[in-house]
Formats: sequence, C-alpha cells, structure tokens
Amino acid sequence: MPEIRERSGRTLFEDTVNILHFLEADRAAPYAKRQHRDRQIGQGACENILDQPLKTVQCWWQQISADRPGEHNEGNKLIRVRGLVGLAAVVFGLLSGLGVIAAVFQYDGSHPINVVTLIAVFVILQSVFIGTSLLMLLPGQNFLSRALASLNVGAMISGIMHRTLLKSSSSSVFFMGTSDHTQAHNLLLRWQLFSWSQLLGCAFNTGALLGAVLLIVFTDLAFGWSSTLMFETVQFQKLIYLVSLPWAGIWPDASPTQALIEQSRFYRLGAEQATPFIAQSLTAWWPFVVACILSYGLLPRVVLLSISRVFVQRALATLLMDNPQVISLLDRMRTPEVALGSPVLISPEMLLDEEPHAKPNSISGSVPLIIWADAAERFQLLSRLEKDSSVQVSQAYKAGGACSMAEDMETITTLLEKRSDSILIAVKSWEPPLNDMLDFIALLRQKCGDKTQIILFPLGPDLSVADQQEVRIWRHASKRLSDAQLFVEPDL
Amino acid sequence: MNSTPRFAITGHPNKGKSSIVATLAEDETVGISEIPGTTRDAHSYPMCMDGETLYELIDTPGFQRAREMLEWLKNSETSVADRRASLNRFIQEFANDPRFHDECELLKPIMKGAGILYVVDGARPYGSEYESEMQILQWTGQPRMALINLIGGEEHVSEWRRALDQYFSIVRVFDAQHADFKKRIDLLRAFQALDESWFASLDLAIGVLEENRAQRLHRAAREIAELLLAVMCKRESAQLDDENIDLQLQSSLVSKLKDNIREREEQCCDVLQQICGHTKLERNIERNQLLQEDIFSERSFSLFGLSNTQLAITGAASGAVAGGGLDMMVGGASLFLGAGIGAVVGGVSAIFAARQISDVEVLGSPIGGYELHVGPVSDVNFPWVVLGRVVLFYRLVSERNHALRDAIAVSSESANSFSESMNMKQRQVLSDLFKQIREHQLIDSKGMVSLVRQIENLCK
Ligand SMILES: Nc1nc2c(ncn2[C@@H]2O[C@H](COP(=O)(O)OP(=O)(O)O)[C@@H](O)[C@H]2O)c(=O)[nH]1
Ligand SMILES: [Mg+2]
Repeated sequence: MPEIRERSGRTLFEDTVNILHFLEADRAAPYAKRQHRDRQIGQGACENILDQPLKTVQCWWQQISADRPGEHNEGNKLIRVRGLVGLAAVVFGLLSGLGVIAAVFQYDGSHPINVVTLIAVFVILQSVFIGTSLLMLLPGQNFLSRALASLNVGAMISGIMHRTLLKSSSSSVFFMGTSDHTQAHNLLLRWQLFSWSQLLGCAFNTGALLGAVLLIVFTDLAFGWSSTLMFETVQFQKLIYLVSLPWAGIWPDASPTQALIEQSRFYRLGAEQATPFIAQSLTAWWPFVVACILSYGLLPRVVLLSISRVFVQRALATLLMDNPQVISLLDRMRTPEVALGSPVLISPEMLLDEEPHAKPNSISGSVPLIIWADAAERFQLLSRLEKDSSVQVSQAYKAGGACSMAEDMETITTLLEKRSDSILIAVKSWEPPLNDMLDFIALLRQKCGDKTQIILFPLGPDLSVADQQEVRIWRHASKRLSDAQLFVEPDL
Repeated sequence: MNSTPRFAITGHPNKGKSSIVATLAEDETVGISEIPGTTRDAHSYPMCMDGETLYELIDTPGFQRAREMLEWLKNSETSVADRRASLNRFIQEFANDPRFHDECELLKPIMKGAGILYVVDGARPYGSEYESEMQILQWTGQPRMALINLIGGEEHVSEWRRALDQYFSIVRVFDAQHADFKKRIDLLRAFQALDESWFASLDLAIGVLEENRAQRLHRAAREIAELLLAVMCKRESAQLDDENIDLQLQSSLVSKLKDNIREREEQCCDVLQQICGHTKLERNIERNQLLQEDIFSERSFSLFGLSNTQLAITGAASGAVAGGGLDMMVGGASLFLGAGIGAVVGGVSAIFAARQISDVEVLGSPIGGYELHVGPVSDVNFPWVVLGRVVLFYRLVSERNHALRDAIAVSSESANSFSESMNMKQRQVLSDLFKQIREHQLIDSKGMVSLVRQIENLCK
C-alpha cells in the first residue's frame, strides 16, 4: 500500500481539475473497461481508504496519472493561470498601494498631511471595500452582488486574462463556469474571486504600509488635521479615540494624545506657519497612521485571505465530490465487478434465404418407405399418402429412434431386395437433421448405388405439412452429403 | 477449483441450449443459430465477481450420434459400476475422431465434474430418439436437471415431463427468450438443489447478481440525470465584431448546439446499453429503432412531451410557451461581457432575455468584446422529451433478453404510455427540478439526489 502524498491546496486544485477533465473524456470509454479499471484500483492501491471518499478519489487519480505521466496537465495549466491572476493582483495591489500613499503623503512643507484624509482613505474606504466584498458572499444572485461583482477588481483582472491570454482554452471555460452546472462550481468561482480580491487587498495594504514607512523614514513629514466640516476638536478627539480603540491596549503610542490633537489642527486659509517645535511634534502622528493601515487594511485582508483559502479548498472538495461522474467512479471502485458471459465473440452461421435445390423425378411404381424415428404412425401416414399423393408405397419400414444400428442395417438389406428407383424417408421436420440420420442415408446410398433417388419427406407434427423454414434447414443439412440423388421434398 | 459449480448445457441440437446460456450469462454474443449444429465446441461462460469465478456455464454442441455412442458404451461396459470408466474410455478412444467430436466436447466437462442441464423443446413432442442421449447422461452419474424450453408453445410439456422424470432429478420449464431476471435467479436457486457443495458459491452469486441489478438501475438513473443537466444547460457562443447579430453565425451555432445535444444523448444511450450488459451488440441496432426519430422533431415533442394540460397542472407552462417548435427553442443574444447588469444589448429573443446573464458573467471585463450566445434550449418540454426517450430506451434495453437477436420494435403507444406512467406528484417534482435547472442553469446536490431518485422510479 503506497503512502498517500500529503496533498496541499495546490494539488487539490490540480487534482480536481485533472480528475474532472479526465472523467469527462472517460465517458466515451467502454463501461466494462472503466468498471474493471476502477475496481482494480479500488481493490489494489486504495483498498484501505475506500471509506474516505476524497482520499479514495485522489488515490485513484494517483494511480491513473501514474500510468500516463505528463499527459494530464490541464490542472497544471490552470494552476499557472490562477497563479498569474494572483500575481497580477499582487503587483497591481502593491503598485496602487504605493501610488495611493504617494498621493496622500504629498508634503511640500506648506501644509501638513491631513489626518482626516488618511482616515477617509485607510479607515472608511477600506472598511467599505471589505464590507462590499463580504456582501458579495451573500448567497443568491441579487442585484447587489451583481453590481458589486462588476466592481470587483479581481474579477476584472481575470476577465482581462480571459479576453487576452486564454481565449477559447478549456481553462477559461473552467473559470468562466460554463463547463459544469453544479452549484458547487458556482461556489468555487465565488470563493476564488473572493480570494483574489483579498490577495489584491493584502497587496494594496502592504504597498501602502511599505510606502508609508519608507516615506516616514526617509523624508520629513508632518501630519495635522483640518476639516471643511466644522469639526470641533472634541468631536475629532472622539473620532480618533474610536478609530484607535483596536490597538489602544497594545500600542499606546499609536493613540494620539489630547495635546497632540489640539496642537496639530490647522487651517488651510489664514495660513499660520507651524513652528518647528510644533512640526516636530506633528510627526508623532505616524504610529497612528501605520496602525490604521495595519488594523483597518492589512489585518482584515490577511484574515479574509486565509478564510477564503479554506473556503476555496472546501468548495474544491465539494465540486469534486458532488460531481455525478465522481460519484459513479466511487461506486465503481467500491462495488464488486460482476462479469457474466464470455470475453470471446462468436459469430454463428446464419441461415441463408432459400437455397437453390433440385426436384426429384416423378416417382413411378411403388416405392419403399422408411419411417425415421417414429416420424409418424405407420397406418396414418400410409393412408395420408394414399389420399393426398400419387405415391404408392410398397412397404413401410422403421429405422432410427429406438431401433438399434444393427436393426437399421437389416432394414436396408431387406428393403433393397426389391428393386425400386426411389426410396422415401419420412422424417420429423422439427427435429434437426442429425449425423445419426445422415450416416444412415450415406449407408443406404452405399448399398443401393448411385441411381436410386433418396427422397427425404419432412413431416410436421401429426402429419401436418412441414414448416418452410424447417424444410430449408433439412435441405441445408442434406447438402453435407453431396449426394446428387438425395432430395428433400415436403409435398409429394 | 472443483468446488466452483460448473454446468454443461447439453441436449439435442437446436433446442435452445445456446439461447439459455445467452440468457443466463447475459451475453448476446453466444452463437445462436437456427442451423442445427452451429455450436461445434464447448464454450465457457463464467460468472465472475472481481475475477473470482462463482459459477460457470458451458455451452456444448448437441448430440449427433447418440445411438451409436450408446451402443459402443454398452459393448464396452462390464458392470454398472464401470459406466463412468467406460465413458472415459470412449472420450479417450474418440478424442480425435471427427465423427464423435461433438459427443466428446459435450462429455468432457461433465466427466470433469460439471452438472448437467439437459435442454428440450416443450413445443414439440417427445421422441424415442432422445432416449439414447438421456441414457448416456445418466451413465455419467453427474447431478442433472432438465429444462423444458418453449420454442413457440407448451403443448407437449407434460409429455416431456413424464419422460424426463425418469432420468433427471429436477425438471423445470424455462423459456429462454422470455425469462426475466427473477426467473433466472429462480433457476440458479434450483441449481443449488442439484449438489450441496455448490450451495455456498451459488448463494453468493445470487446475492451479487441481485445487488448488481439494483446498482445497475441506480447507475443508469445517474447517467440520465447527468444527461438532462448537460443538455438543458448546453450553450454555444462565438465572438462578434459588433453588437449586431450575425444571422448566419447564429444558425450555425444553433445547428452546432443541436448536434452536440444529439451526440450527448447518443453517448448516454451507449452507456446505458453497456450498463445493461449489451456491450457487444452492434451499436445502434436497437437505438435506431427507438431513437431514429430526431430528438428535435415535432413528433418527438408530441410523443414524449407533456400535454399542455399536464404542463399547466405542474405550473411549468406559466411564463413560458408550451409545446412549441424549434423557432422558440433557440435564440441569440449579444451581450457586452462584464458590463454586469443590463449587459444584454439587444436582438434577444424573449425566451433568452432573462437568462443570458448568469453567475459567471461577473468574470467579464469592460474591455471585453461582443459575444453571440445560443442556447440553452428553453422549451419547457425539452427535458421531458429527452427524459422520455432515454428512460424508454433504458427500460427496453434493461429487460432485453440476451437470447433475442432481432431489433426492438417500438410503438408510439409505449412512448405515449410513458408520460401517462407518471403520477401527478412525480410530474410535479420533476417539473420543479427542471425549472430550477432552466432558471439557474445549475442544480444543487440535493436537487441532483432527488432527480436521480425520480428517474430511478421511472426506469423501474
Ligand atoms: N421462439 C423461441 N425460439 C427459441 C427459443 N430458444 C431458442 N430459440 C430458437 O431456436 C433456435 C436454436 O437455438 P440455439 O440456442 O442456437 O439452440 P442450440 O442449437 O441448442 O444451441 C434459434 O433460432 C433460436 O432463436 C425460445 O425460447 N423461443
Ligand atoms: Mg448451440
């Protein structure tokens, strides 16, 4: 029993794609072959884990793909696509994070950087974004989730990928969700999108944080606050207090003091230059700014990203295990393979249509009659022949059936004592012409010479007229003797 | 090895030996022919579970020179106890003699321990020529049963019984071409009575076969459910240069869609046929009879679709037009990918408008171009037509006797009775499931389970 490789998320994704892809094509393979193959694997490598469906399926796939290395890279391709989309999200996020920071931290020395703007961008906007991506996860196809989805940057990126890199490839089909119509697929797509959005969010915040730290360390920044709304200082204090609540206990330096807030208010109009002393104290805002980005941006995004990873995994597992083909596969692996019948194909000889056959010469004089295997009751047969035909029977004999071979021999001898140009043999039309009977005819021929006509007279049950098909069978069989003077004739 | 029950099917030629084997072994390749003496060599048909043989049927040629053989045996016999030995001597002596090829072939497995199933035809009278055969079989001393096959009647069954009772411990009537699964299992049970040492193996075999039977139904139902889901969701699309519908492109997409659906149905029937063990049958022999009517034809729709009243009762008709033809099944829509809501730009047939935006369009982007979509087929009767055709096919093929060689004839009555065979509740449940698929282009796992169960009931 080979050990099952520890499967990471990456491989579950790869496996799922590959397995579904394989099974779709497998549909065309003969059922018995599939049954045999899967049961073999079920009884072999995966025998001990048959009660764990996911593991069983993955184990099965290991066996299948081991047989054809390098053939199934659909999953691999998709992983790369997924990675590319992720990478694009990261790059885009980092750059936009840096860009936003650069824009917000623009400090020319005339006015300090406005903390209100920072709060608006890094607290309120971030929270709104996170909120909306949570809304996206609400079940159902509501107007809101649709509207939000079209704003979703992750979606846009993968859309771009779809339109550019992957046109008409099967991978796009997978991501665009047209290949599978189970709810599980839908769910997976949703979580994958969600996951990309979170990745982008993480990257954005990392970029912002990085930019902020760089700017704080390497340049001279001053923060202050100013609002066109007539914020009272006290109100602003309350706001700052609320915003910094999450880290108040852990990082007191990041909670601006009352004094700092009072000192750092500035008015754009009536520009009084901040004194150097004040300016220095104004830099004291930076821990607050960093803490804002951390707790309202990066941290929730990281949490959501990890949650989304878990859910993507779960959705993948559901997608795989809910698939009807996979259910059938498990069924094939777990249930005994029952084989009836023969693996060898025999094609029997079929009866041709009416074969050409010769008619006997008309019978003149009286002829001997042999009743083979009690084909009919002697007197009934004789009276029927007398009534319905011109044939005159000289003598009726019995052969075959219950008679012994010696008795048959004797019959031939006595019968040939009287010369006659024809010999009649009544047979049961419904019984097959056996070699036993054909032997008798051959013997008879040998004794009576080539000239005598031997006429087989097939009779239906109770002296009825023989069935056409049965007569054909008799004619067919009589050919085996290649006897030109042997005839099969149902009407005399 | 000797504990594996083996049964040699013997008898007069052309009495349905091979047909009985074909039925029991569910093997349509067994050489059955109206020409007597077609089976020249003994041929084994094992019943295997995971490669282990549970029992084995051996089709043998019929007796050709039983009289002569019996005389030879009688001459070589020294005492009653010597009979088996004298049979073995016969086989030795004539193993290479073409004259007794058939006799040797049929005796060999019996002398190696196989039980005997002696087949006669109850439609035809008993005759003295059978006696030597029966005597020879009696000489083997092997457990033996006689089966009275009914090739077109049973007038002579009692006459046969009287004769057979003399030589065989069990005499049963078994109609090779019309024996259903239950009758076959009953026959296997009778085999058990032949020899105690076979009991366990046959018991296991019967259990396995019965289990397999139930699974077969389930597997088939799953295949059909999958087919329904696939064809109901099937779409075709192609890129467009601008927002205007290219009619030529549209009609090519429509025919592509239809071809795909036909092909998928065909594939499903293939699998169903194979699940029923008709694997080696020339593909399409029966299907052509049943499914020659095109799935999209007016006739298919009128045969298999629900009537307007039936549709109205299930509520499926509301909002959709019932019982229509092709023109309403397909339509086109051009949409601007990724624009989200309101993406449908126009030229959309009424039936499609509501559904073109599905879940996945969120992946589209504003830089995307125009795409023409055709499908899915939205006629309310479409799934009923597919279901009806395929279920009917399954019913026929699953009860199809492996000894029959002619094609199935399907009357339109059997198609009509299909929609009648459902009760209100079944129709309602299915209708709701179809609606779910039609509207959401997907099915949840609960729905799938329910769909499979419904189909299973229909297939029974
Ligand atoms: N109508 C009918 N025909 C049968 C039945 N069993 C066998 N036959 C036909 O009888 C012929 C001989 O059958 P086969 O199985 O080849 O007999 P074998 O020679 O004993 O193996 C074939 O044409 C069969 O189609 C039966 O139960 N009913
Ligand atoms: Mg045969």
